[in-house]
Amino acid sequence: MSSTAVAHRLAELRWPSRGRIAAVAAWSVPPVVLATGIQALTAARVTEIGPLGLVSALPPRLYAALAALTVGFVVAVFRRGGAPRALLAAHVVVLVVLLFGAAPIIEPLPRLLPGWLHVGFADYIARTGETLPQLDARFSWPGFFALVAMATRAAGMPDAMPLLGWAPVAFNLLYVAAVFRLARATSSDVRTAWLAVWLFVPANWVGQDYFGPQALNYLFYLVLLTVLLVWFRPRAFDHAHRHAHRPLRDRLSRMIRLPAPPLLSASSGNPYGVTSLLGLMVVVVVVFAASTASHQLTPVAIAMSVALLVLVRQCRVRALPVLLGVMVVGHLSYFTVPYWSGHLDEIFGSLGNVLGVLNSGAVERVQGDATHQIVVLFRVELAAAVWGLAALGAWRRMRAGDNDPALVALAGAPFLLLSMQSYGGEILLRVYSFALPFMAVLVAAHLAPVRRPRRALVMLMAVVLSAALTGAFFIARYGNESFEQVRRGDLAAVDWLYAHAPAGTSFVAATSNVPWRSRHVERYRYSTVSDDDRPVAVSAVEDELRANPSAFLILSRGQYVFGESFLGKPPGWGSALEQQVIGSGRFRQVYANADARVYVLTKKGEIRGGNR
Amino acid sequence: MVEIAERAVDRRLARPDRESVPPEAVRAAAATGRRAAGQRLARPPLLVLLSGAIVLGFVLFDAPAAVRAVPVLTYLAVVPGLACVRLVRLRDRLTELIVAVALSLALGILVAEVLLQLGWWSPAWGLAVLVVIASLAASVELGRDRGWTVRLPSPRRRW
Repeated sequence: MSSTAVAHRLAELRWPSRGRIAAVAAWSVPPVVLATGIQALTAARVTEIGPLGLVSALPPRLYAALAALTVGFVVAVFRRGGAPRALLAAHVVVLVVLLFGAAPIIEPLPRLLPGWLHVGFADYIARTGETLPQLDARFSWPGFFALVAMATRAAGMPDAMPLLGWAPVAFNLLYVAAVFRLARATSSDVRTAWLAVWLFVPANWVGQDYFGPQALNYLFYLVLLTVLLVWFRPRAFDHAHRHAHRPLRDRLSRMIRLPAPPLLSASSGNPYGVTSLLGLMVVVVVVFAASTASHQLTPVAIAMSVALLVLVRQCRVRALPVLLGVMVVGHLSYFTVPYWSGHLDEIFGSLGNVLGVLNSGAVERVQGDATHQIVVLFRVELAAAVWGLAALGAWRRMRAGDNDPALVALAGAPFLLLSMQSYGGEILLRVYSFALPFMAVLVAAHLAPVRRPRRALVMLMAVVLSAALTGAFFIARYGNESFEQVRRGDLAAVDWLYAHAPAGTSFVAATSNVPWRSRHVERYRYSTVSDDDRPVAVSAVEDELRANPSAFLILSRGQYVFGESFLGKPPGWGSALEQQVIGSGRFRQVYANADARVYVLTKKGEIRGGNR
Repeated sequence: MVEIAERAVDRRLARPDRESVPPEAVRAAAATGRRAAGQRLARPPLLVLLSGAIVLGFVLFDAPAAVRAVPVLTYLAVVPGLACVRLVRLRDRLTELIVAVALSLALGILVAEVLLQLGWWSPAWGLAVLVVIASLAASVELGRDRGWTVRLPSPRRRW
């Protein structure tokens, strides 16, 4: 090697002297913000979580850190010549950690009780090697629970509880990687992809990323569509087809002033051989098979999206939707009989009833106390704002000649789910979630590509938009934290029950917000007295306990807050109920802590543990 | 200084995993800081084989959870899929990684579900099946890169 070449190589290794300070400043933003943010979150107190959720406990330092991160990212992404990809990725990683790690850092226990239940399902499979489809419909799709059972036992762990708290952070880190690749495949400008990822993170407030089948299946959804978009799009742009004479379409285009330039992001060819593509198709089928075995809704969403991709001629494997449909129906026919044999009306009752589904997905969810209603309405408005911005972004891309039929099809495909069923009133959230990656790309179209004279204005827009989304994230995602958190006292009472109640005993609670069933799902009977907005009468509680042998009544603060905030029960109903329970003389307290108490009936109840 | 830099470049060129690529291609790649076309690291498939043996050893000898939890979970989440995806020779590392994770977890689900449905439930057997799948894929890759099978050029680009 000549000395000139080596000198040139050495010069490359050094920072350019003029930009050295700027580079050091840019690279220092992510670690400094991460340290500041974690310090701020560690200092926050869980007791300050109020009716609006986590937002009231967050210190101003966190917002300042996030603002600095936003400015750092926007400056880097719009830098002339482009910033190093590792620098941009570091910003995104820090954003994910601070947004989705806020709850696990502040709260002492993992949030969201459905995740606890999933741990209990996996625990049952690990202990018995069987499923319980009669106990819960989710056991008809046991793939995720079986995987968790196998992995945790092979790893020597007693259960999956250690995975619960930080699962959202891990899942979202995987999501952003897939979303970046999706955005890159559907955008002609790399800035658009980075901005789409940056906007996706705070816009993904839906909360379907907790430890459960839907979180893993969302990754399957993203990866499967990524593979199809990157490797199975048409080989080359078919100019002849695009410019064929189509009177109606041409007239419409002229009417709404749509230009018809070529697709900037169309794939120009596929360098992979048949063997590689075959291998990728095997990946698609294996991932989809795992999806059908582990979740009810995601395979349907995937099949619909792929079908639309084929319809708009953006997927070369035209038979794929048929194959996917056959796999879904096959799994439903053979593996989920215990579920659908008694619930056909529940499954197909809403078919075509879009208004009914919308009603149960949006209108009926506006319940509970005034603060909870504000949070729900805020979520609806936020979703509508994202969709509106995405629609405008699609229009902008179309006007700029960068329209991509695949992107619009994938953003719209999840809305077809509205014609199927309400999915327990959650379907709108799921539609938002499935459409979000593509909506984010369309929203990013407002910011990139950018012309030089408008750079400062666009940067300002980017900062304002991402700051607004980040601020909204804390209310939309953590707005229910007053009852979605798990309190130590509630868990201690449940632990006491498991330690003292014999198998076969019934556990009775006033409402369903109790951290139980994370183990022993089959050993005890679990029942709740009232999950509606009416106050609970002590006679109803007594009847429930008398109907079960050796029943224990557990009353806890988590139930009271859930009843008031989510169910809309009158304020103070919990303490009033407890006063009635004590005053009736028919219950005896066998356990108590600051947050929870356990009672048994004095006449027929049997106390298996010591009094406290 | 020039000698130090030359020695550094020579050390890079002397790595055994680059022996299968023409030296001039490696030298050119080293000058630009990029990997040469057709250049495949032999290390990953060997690591797949080695890591499979290690996690199986952990389970067979019932190592404490503090020792084996992270390696076993990481293996299950990444390695089987990565071993299979490397056979396809994807061109960017980010896509390779996310497809590998998704495929690993999908294979885990399918293996666990099959064991469950057949009544052969055993976490250790499930892990063993996944280790076999990963090892087979790694062996195929090793064989291919050593000329036992047809070799395709695989220029990689950074994401």
